[in-house]
Amino acid sequence: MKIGQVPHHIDERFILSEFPSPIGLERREQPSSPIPKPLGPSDDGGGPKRPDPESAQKDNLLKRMRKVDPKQAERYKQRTGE
Amino acid sequence: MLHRIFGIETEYGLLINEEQPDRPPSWVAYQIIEHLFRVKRYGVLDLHHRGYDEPPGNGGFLLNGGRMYVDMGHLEFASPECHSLRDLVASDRAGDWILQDAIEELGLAENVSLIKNNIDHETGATFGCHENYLVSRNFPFSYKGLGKLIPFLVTRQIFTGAGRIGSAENHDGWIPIEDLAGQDPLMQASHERLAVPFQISQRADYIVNDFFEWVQHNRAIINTRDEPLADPTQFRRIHLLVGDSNLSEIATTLKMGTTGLVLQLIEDGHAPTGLDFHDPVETLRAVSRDSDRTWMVTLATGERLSAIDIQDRFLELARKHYHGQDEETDWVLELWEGVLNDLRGDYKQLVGRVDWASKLWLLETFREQENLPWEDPWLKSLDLEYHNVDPQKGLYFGLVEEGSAPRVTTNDAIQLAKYAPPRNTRAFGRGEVIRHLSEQSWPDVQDSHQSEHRFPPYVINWSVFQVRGSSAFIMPDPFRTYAQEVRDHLKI
Repeated sequence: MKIGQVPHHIDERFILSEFPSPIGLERREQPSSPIPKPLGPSDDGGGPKRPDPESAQKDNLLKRMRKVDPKQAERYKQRTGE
Repeated sequence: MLHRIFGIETEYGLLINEEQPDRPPSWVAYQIIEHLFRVKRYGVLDLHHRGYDEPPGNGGFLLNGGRMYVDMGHLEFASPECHSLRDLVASDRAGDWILQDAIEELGLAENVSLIKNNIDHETGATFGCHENYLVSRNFPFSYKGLGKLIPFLVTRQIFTGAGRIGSAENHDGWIPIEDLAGQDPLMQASHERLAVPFQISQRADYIVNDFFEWVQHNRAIINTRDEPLADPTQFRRIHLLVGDSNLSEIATTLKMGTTGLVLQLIEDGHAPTGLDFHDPVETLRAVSRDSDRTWMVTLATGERLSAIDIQDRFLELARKHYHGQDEETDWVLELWEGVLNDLRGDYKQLVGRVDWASKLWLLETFREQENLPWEDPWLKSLDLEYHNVDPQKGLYFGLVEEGSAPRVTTNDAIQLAKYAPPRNTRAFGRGEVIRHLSEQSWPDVQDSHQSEHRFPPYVINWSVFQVRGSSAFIMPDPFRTYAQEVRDHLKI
């Protein structure tokens, strides 16, 4: 059977609800990687591995926090999801 | 990571920062869906009923192979299938960027914020960040097999938790327990004992079972739904809803990477034994609420251990069996060991890597400066703002800006992941389908079912698609790209 073809014994209307039935195809990993990978595990995208928060510019962070509307949590009306 | 496909589904909160908003958050959500699919053509809208609560036009698959839709009033992004953790982090962040871009393009950014969290402090609502791990069909999907995952999941919150102010109100039916407690001194005392100023997990208060198959009620530490979205003779999909949404890229990497390794330990019969809790649900909450952060737990045997010790047992076995397996495994082992060592010391060492630690440090710093008690409503608002995905506003991104939050991906990679699927999974083939369909014109959602055709113009699902007039094309193996076969099928 060609990859992607629907086996004759499967009703296509049923298939489209999601893959319903076993089909034996080999598992083969593809080698290529999609996203540019300039990074190795030891070469992170930015920032130190174990930053010292005390050395961070607290002034900038405090400025960002003071801009937050103190009442915004009261306006955050969310429904329960999953 | 070896033989693993990962995925993350994120439900976003929408904050409309107006005194008397004219429209509910769900109205904004649908405006964004319309914009993404009809104006920006990020993907193709579903033209068929996917389910009773997913009518045509509710959302659809994207060029990057993921899905964007509205679920129970929440915008939800399901990442494409990813075979590497770096792809996963980039794809997860791409969902944030796609939505934030839409808010700005719609001119809503001044009053609307996307909040990537899991709770509403005021209403007690919760919404999820679900994790998906593809495992072999031979995975021991039984109480005994999955039970070995419980001690790991109950304790991993010490580095995966996003933290929150306060606790969730428990409800008895529609009546908040605190209202009932006000009438009963014993219940009042119990309620006060349960109140905490800050806890490390957002979801712990909402988990009431160890195993259960449903996701909206009676949420469980392990969701037992058997829905592989792939060949069911070869695969299972472990679907977890116990975790928090993470902003820290390191925390996302650790959450998915360590869980992937522990699933491998269980698959291979190497998982530690003897770590069962008498009451896993109560232990989950107790760890989250432990203000001393010693995280001592009692095993069913009566032995007392810390959550860090339990994590160490899993780490030791993962290192013993899988060190050197591949570069990504070694990276996760190194990160895991690093956070566990640092969790034994001052929590401030974890700022930037662990979300609850970052949030707690920010709140403590602000409280000290402004001389605020924990009960001050401003702190709840700051708790929310930590999760604002707008880099100009979100408090997590303030830490990034200051160089205090290590990255595992780059902005270029995230930008690419908005449009491009991973090229080494089934998402690549699906992306080809979406790209092909998005270049064509389709009838309005309302019109698509009023034609003479019984079959909609196209139907796309995770493991199969069909375009009207041609046969269905199935993609049962998430490790395959199906790219050329899809092009042949579509004659492109």
